[in-house]
Amino acid sequence: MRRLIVGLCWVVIPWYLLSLFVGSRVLPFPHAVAIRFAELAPSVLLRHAAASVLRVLAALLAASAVAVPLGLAMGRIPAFDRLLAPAAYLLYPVPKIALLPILLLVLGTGDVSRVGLLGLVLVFQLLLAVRDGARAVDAHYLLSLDSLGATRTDHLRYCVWPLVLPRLLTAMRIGGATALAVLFFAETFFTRYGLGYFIMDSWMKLAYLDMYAGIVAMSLVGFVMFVTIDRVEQHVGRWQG
Amino acid sequence: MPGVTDRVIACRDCAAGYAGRDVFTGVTLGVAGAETIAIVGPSGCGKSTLLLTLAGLHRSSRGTVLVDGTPLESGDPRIGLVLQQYGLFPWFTVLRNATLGLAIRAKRSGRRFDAAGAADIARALLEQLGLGGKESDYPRRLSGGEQQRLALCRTLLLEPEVLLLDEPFSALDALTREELQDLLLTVLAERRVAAVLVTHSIDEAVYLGDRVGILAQNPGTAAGEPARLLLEANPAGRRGVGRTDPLHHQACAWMRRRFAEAVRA
Repeated sequence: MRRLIVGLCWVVIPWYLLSLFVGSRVLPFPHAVAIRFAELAPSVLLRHAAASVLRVLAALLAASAVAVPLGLAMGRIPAFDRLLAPAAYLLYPVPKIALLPILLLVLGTGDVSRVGLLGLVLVFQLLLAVRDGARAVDAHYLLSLDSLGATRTDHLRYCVWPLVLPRLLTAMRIGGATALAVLFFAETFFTRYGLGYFIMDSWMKLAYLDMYAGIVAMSLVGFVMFVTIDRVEQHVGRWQG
Repeated sequence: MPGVTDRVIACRDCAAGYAGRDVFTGVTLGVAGAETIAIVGPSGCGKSTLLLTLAGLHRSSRGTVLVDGTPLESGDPRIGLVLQQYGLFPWFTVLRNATLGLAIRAKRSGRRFDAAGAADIARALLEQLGLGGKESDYPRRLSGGEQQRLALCRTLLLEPEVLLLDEPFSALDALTREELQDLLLTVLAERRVAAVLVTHSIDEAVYLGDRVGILAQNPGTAAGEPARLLLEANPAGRRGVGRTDPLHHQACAWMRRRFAEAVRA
């Protein structure tokens, strides 16, 4: 809670100053946005936020389902890494947002395209984080496991995975921010749900208070996502002190 | 050596190394039940490689390691290995580290792992080894000596027939080292397991070994030639002769001379 209050102070105070400077019609005062947010939150914003969150979660799950096994295999089997790493390096820098038209054509105009786009944003980041984590495992730990009679599955379960997981979570946090930005863009096409749609729709209707309430909602979605990842990271990394 | 294969662990004319180059060769060794062989040697002579070969974790280029007369497998449950850097997993608690070997062995043998039962047995041994009350700690909170006790505990819980120890006390301060050497003597006497210990300390080898092995290149051989093992009865007559006993000092002095002769090029 203290973190939230400190974070709010850093945002709200400059916001007030900026509103005074540019005028409250274009940039309404935070208290006016807060009141509108409270009015819209239970009925309208919650529905749009739920749609956005579900898309992000689906993309995280899909990207993890691809990136974790592939990354583990690349990290532990050098031949597999030599085979796949060039493709990953070629595709990673491509701006995924440029692929939206292709995704819309191939996967249709429904949510599958939007989730696919977010998944593409996330998958390379997660893949390389998992690969690097799996590759960096100290052979001493594996020898220790071998002395106990461990199999390759035991290596993954007792050694590789505990070391990869913190890196995966860090990649999720970094990738998550990009995914939210891309989500905003992806929700401006062929959908009537999602915070991206709500923000753009309000803007076109010149309903600036609604638009800012939507931006606040998106910010809160990101905040909850980051805090959740932080908590999980603290839990799985508690051995590091 | 006649009868060497009757021992709990034995190898005859064994050689092993890396990238096609043997680091030791012609090693013939047999350890009887409750006997401890302590092997000393200069750095890089292949002490750890020999131990890993005896553990079945490094393939020999010649010769076979037998345990109770049958060939050794990788991760053989009859062998317990304590590694030089302890081999603890910092992400597991003390209790989980201690019981991990039991969990892996249970799975390997197709048995259901009784976590609660294993935890009870582990707690009792942790208590006996002076780690009572630390079950929920992570290894980083333990001192070097405590980490070594935990590594020993994890291995002893597996009830191995042969205990292999790779420079187990090399990273410890002198007082802790002596304390743990005494603890090891007690454990070995109680459990009556065959043990092979490698160390760089002649004093430690004389104190802990029933026999002392010197792993070194033969005098006069060119650099890079594989090392050979020379086994001697403990000149003190038995292991555990007190460190302040003149006999211990005489034995160490004799062994130092023998070591110098063995490694002199």
